[in-house]
Amino acid sequence: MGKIIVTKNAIAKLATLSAMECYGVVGLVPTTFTGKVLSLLGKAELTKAATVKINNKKVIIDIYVVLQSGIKVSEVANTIVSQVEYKIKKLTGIKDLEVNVIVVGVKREV
Amino acid sequence: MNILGLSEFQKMFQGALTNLGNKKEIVNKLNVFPVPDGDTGSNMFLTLKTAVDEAKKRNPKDLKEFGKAICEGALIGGRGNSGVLLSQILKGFFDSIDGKEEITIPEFAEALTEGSKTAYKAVIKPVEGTILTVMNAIAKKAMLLRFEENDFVHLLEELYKESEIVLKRTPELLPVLKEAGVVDSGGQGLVFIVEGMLKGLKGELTFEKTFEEEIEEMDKATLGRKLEFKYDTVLLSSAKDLDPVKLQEELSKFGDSIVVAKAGNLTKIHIHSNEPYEVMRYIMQFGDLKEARIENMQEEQEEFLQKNNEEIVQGIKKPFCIIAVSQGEGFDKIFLSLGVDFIVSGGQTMNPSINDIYSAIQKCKKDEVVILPNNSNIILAAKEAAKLTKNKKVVVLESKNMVQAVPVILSFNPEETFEENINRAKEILKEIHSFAITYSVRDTTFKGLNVKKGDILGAMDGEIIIKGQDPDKVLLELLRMNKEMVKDYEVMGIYYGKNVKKEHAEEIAKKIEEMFPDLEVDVTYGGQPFYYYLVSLE
Repeated sequence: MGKIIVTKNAIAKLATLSAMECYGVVGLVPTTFTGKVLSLLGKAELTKAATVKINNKKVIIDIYVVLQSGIKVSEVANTIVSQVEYKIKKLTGIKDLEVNVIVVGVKREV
Repeated sequence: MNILGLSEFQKMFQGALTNLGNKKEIVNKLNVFPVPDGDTGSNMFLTLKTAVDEAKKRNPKDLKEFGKAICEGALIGGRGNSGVLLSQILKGFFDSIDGKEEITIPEFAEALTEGSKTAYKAVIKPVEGTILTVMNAIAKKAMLLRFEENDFVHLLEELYKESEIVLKRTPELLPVLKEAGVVDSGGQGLVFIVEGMLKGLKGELTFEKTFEEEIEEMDKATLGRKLEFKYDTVLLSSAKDLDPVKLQEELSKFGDSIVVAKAGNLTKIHIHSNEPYEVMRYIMQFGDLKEARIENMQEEQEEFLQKNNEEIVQGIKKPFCIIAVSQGEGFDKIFLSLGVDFIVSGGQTMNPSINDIYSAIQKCKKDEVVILPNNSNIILAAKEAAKLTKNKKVVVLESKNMVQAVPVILSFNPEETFEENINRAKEILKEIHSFAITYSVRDTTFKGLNVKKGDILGAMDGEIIIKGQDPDKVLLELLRMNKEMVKDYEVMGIYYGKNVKKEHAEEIAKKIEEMFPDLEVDVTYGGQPFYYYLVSLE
């Protein structure tokens, strides 16, 4: 039988994409240099805003986000955790998963 | 009505809350996106409830204060994606009419638009086919009608209609919904909110249930069950500073069916307990009693039982929880009377989701849970749900239809351990034979049997064996074929389906008794669709 390999990079990308769909998330904070350039160019969708570590088969994902102000931060963060967890588990089959959300900033309303 | 003031808003929000509260389970069931956790309805309801409660608590004197209370309440109470989103809609709406005492139709339409815009602002990639789409459509419709309409009730009627139309389109916009065959849950929640606002404004759904309605409901629920607490007690206390929420908690040590409500300076308290004097003593330490009424419910209970002439079977007291999947009202009743704690509805052509089963497991108060899936297609889902459960011990007994579940449940013995019960149940499942009489929904070939659509099929232990034209003849033929086996059994249970008449079922039971004089045949209404008869041999 062959092997299936899902790279950290792919997981990070998946996590970013599903975090982006969460209500209340208005920005992602790029974790790579290229990401920073891309986000400067306004291409949020191409940004990778998550880091992935693997510790004893446990996959640990940190996601860096900016939330809309005037919104319950704790609730949105919880939603991100459950939404990202659900998506990654469903799409990759990874079972042991830890999702951390780092709220880097809050966007003022315009 | 072409102007909305504070009192209209209060009515609309109360209506929305009541309506959503009544229908939140419908919304929960639709929840497949983004995470199918079945809580959208509850989340939206709790968010709205915190908002409305906040507005009641602050007793606002104008629309500005009301709006502020609603927004802050929704912010604090925001739960889940949809709840947080709802708080944004409300925020946008009330920001737009900030400072106004009353609002006109064009102002209302603009406020809705602001609400929609604010909601869209808080997400990078708005997904269409969700509550956002429905909100946007409502706002657009309101903008379109704002100069034509001069009556708020009519406007809300139009908006409600529009919201329903858009809701029906959500599966076209979001593939996940289409796959699951549902409309968007958050969108449905919003539709219920609009419906509730309309009803509230019309005065149809103004207030929450009154104290009297609520206690009547509770008393009714007690009827027919074994009386755990005998005395129905209603107290009217003039004590100040009684906190209803805290009081409710404190009182739970005395009994159940507790309702506490504030009425002006008085606090009304309703409780079923065995020690009404203790309750009175407890309440009186806070202040004087104005009124007290204590009633023994025993008599009423007996009257009720006689009138209904129905033996209320008290399910066995057992140390574990039983969940059964059931289809048909007859079977629901049978299971409940046997002591099944939770029924998950589903069966042939309508399999419950893993989540349906999982949430039933979560509702169980005991640590050990038995699931009877009652259909070979549901066994897997039940096993998955069991795997998902971390906090309880769950065993799936592989019952393939509902008649198999009955003797299993009857075999449970509360004196024995969970394992002993499970092992015996497994043995029983092996020994029970069951027959099913159903019809074919399409032309097919089955193990050399050419079946046409509409043919009557007879199955034994899940294997289709014979076909025919008449359900009764097929059943009799099936028994004749297995004559030798049937002879070894003592009891036969016939559960007749939704489309079979009682007399008819009894007639066939007679014929069977003639065929097998030693067999005891029981006929029960199962109410199941698809199957004319489900028959068990024990």
